[in-house]
Amino acid sequence: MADDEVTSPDVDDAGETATVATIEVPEVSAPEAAESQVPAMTDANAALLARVTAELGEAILESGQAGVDLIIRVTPESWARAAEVCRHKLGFDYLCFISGIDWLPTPSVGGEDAESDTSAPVQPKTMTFGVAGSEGRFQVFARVSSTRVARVGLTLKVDIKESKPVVGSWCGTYPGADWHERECWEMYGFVFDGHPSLRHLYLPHEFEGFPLRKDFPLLAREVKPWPGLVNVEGMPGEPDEEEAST
Amino acid sequence: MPSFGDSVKGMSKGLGVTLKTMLKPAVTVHYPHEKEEVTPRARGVIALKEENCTVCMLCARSCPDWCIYIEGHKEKRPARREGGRERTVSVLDRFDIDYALCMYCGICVEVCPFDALHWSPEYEYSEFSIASLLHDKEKLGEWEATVPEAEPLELGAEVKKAKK
Amino acid sequence: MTSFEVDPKLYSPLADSQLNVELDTGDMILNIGPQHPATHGTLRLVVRLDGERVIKADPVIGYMHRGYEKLTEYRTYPQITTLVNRIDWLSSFANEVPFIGAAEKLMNIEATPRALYIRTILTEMARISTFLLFLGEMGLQVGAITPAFFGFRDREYTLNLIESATGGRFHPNYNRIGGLKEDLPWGWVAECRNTMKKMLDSCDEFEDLVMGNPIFQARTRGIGIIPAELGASYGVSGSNLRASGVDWDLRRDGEPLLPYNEIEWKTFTHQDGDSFARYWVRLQETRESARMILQLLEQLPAGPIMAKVPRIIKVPEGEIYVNAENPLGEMGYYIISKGATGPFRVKIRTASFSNVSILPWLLQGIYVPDVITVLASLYFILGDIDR
Repeated sequence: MADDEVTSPDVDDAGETATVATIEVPEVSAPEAAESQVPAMTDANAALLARVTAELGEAILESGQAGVDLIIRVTPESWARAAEVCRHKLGFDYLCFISGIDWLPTPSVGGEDAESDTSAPVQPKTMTFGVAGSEGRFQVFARVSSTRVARVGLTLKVDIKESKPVVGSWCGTYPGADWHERECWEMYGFVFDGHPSLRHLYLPHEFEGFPLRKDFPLLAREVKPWPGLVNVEGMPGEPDEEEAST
Repeated sequence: MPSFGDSVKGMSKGLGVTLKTMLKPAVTVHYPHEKEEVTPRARGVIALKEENCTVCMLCARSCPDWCIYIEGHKEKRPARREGGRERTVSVLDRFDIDYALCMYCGICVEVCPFDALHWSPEYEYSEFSIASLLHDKEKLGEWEATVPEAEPLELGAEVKKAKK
Repeated sequence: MTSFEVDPKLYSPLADSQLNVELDTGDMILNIGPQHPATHGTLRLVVRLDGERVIKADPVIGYMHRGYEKLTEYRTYPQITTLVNRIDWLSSFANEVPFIGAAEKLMNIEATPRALYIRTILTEMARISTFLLFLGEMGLQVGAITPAFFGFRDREYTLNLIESATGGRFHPNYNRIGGLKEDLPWGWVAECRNTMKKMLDSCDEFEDLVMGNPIFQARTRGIGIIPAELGASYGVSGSNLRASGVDWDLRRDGEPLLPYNEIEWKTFTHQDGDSFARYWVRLQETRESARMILQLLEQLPAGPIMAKVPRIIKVPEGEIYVNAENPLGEMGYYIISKGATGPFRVKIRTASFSNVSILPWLLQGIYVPDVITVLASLYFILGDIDR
C-alpha cells in the first residue's frame, strides 16, 4: 500500500496542532470552542464534560461540540474504561453506534476533468481533522446516549495507530458493540482487543482489503469515464471553443 | 393461554371482520385487462424534447448513476432576425438513458435548465434483454406524447410568479 | 428430529467453514434462510438445535450489502438523498428526513414551516405503511393468512397518497435541502383525511381480527422477551424498546427535527417485552400516527415550500449527528463535511442493525417455530441491516 508516502507529510502537520490543543482541565473548553468558530459549548454539555472529566480525568485529550453533542477524544489505553464509565457511572445505557474514520483525503471522482465541476463531489486535498482533533489518519468513534434522559448524547473518539491498529473492545460493557466492532474491523482493519470473535460481518470471509479506507478504490467510479465531459464536435475549420475552455 | 370464553369471543370477533369484508367489493384489479389509474406525478419513464436540448451535459453530470450518454455537434443556423448574426447551435447526436442503471430519482429532470426532460407516468416498457433497456433519443422522444400537464397545487401553496 | 453427529470436514464446503467451526457440530445445525418470508430480504440464520430447542443462533448478514457509506463519499448531497431512500425501503421517506436535517443544520438553513409540516405528515404516513405491513405479516408468520391481505390492502392506500405527492411509491426522493421538491397536488389534503379515517377503522379491524385470536396469543405471549436494560445496551430502539417498557421516543426526546411538539400525541409502552407486546405497541402507534396526521392536516400552514438555498449546495466544514425516530427505531446520520459539495464521511446508524444484533441472545433456548415469531415481531428490513 502507498499510505506511507501519501500520509507522512500530513501527519507531521497534524502532530503539531494536536499537541497545542491538548487539555487537561474542563474549564479550558469554552475559549477553545470560540477559537475554532463553532458555537460556544452549551451549559448542558459543559456540565456533562465536567462529569466526564471527573471520572476519566487525564484520559481526555480534547473535547468539543458538534451539533448539540459533546465530543471527547480519549487516550487509546482508556478506551474500554471510557465505555464502562459511560454505562455505569454516567447513565448512558444505550449504545448508538461504533465506527471508524479515515482522515485521508477522498480521491477525486472523474479524474482531472471533473475537478472544476460543481456537480462532482470534489474534496479538499489536504488532511484536516474534525472536532476534537486527531493525531493520525485513523480514528474510531462511538456514540452513546440515554433512554432515561431526553436530548443527551456523547460521542467518543480515539486515535488508532496506523502501524498497530489495536484498541480495546466495548463488548464487555455494551453487548451490542459486537457487530459494530466486527463491521469496523472488516471495513477499516481495526482490531478490537478483547472481542470474542472478529470475523467478517457483511463481506465474504475470503475478502481482502478494507473497503472504507480512503485508499480502497470504488471500482464503479474507476471503470467508467466521467460522463460530464462536454462531448460536442466543433464546426469544421473552426477552433473548438469547448475544448479550448476545458 | 386465554380462557375458553375469551377464546370464543376473540375468534367470533375475528370471523365477524372476515364476514363483513367478504361482502365488500374487491379492491384489486386484473392487471393486463384492467389498469389502475396512475398519478400524473408518477415517475415512470423520462421523455426527451430534443429541440430544447443544448447539449450542456448538466443532466449527465448530476446523474448519481452515470447512466446518461450524450454526444453532440455544432451547426450554423440562420439568424432569427433580419440582418442578425448567424447563430451557432449545438445539435444532439446521441442521447441515451440506460434504464437498466437508472434509479428513477429524477435529478436529471430537475436540473435541466432548458426544460428538455420530463417525467411520463408510462411504465410498460419491460424488455427481454437488458441491452434493450437503453433508450435512444428517438425512443425517448416518443414518450414526450405521454407527458401529462402539470397539476394544480394544493390550497395554501405558494403561487409562482408567471414566467415572462 | 433426532440429533446426530456431523463431520465438520464433510459439510464445510456446503456452508461457510468458519461458521461450522464457530458453532461446533455435536447437535443438528439448521439453516433458516437466506430466503425465508420472515426475513424481509435475505437473512440467514444458522441455528444449532438440541431436539427442537435452539442452543445457539448465529445470524449471517451481508447478502444485500451495498456499501452505502462508501458510495456517499463519491456523491453530492442531492445525489445521496436518492441513495438513502433505499436503506429501509418500506419507510424510505423517513430515511431522507434525518439526512436532509443534518445537512440543513450544518448549512444553518431552516426549512419553511409548510415544508416541515408536509415532511412530518409523510414521515408518519411512512410509519403507517410500514406498520400495516407488519400487522399483516406478523399474522402470516404465525399461521394466519387473512391479516396479510388486510395489511397489504390498507398499505396500498397510503402508498397511493405518497406516490401522488412525491411521484415515487417506494423511493420518494422528495426532500431537498431547505424544503421539498414541489408542493402537494390539488385535492391531496382531502384525500389524505379520508384515508386516515379509513386507517383508524382498519386499526380497529386488526384489533378484532388478530389480537383477540387465541392461537395468535398462544403463539406470541411470553415469546422472545427483551429485558429493557439489555435491549438498550444492545442498541435496540423504537417500538421494540417501547414494548419492553422503556418510554423513549426520539420524536419527543430527541433533538427537534420536525414540529411534533405542535400537535398532541402520546407514546405507548407495554411492560411485557414479548412478541405480543411488540405487536400491541405497533398497532397503537399506527392508530396514533393516523390521529397525528389528521391534526397536522388541520394545522398545515400556507406559504412557500422552499427556503432560500444557494444554487450550488456546498456544506460548510463541520460534523454533526442527527437522528430521528424511524418506523423501525433510531436512524441517524453522522456527517463529516469538509466544505465540499459532497460529504467526507457519512456513518449511517440504522435501526434494524442494532435490533437484530440481539438475536443471538434472544433466540437461545427457544423452540424452532418461535424463532419465526421472534423474527417477525422484531420487524427488521434487510436493507436497513445491510445498508
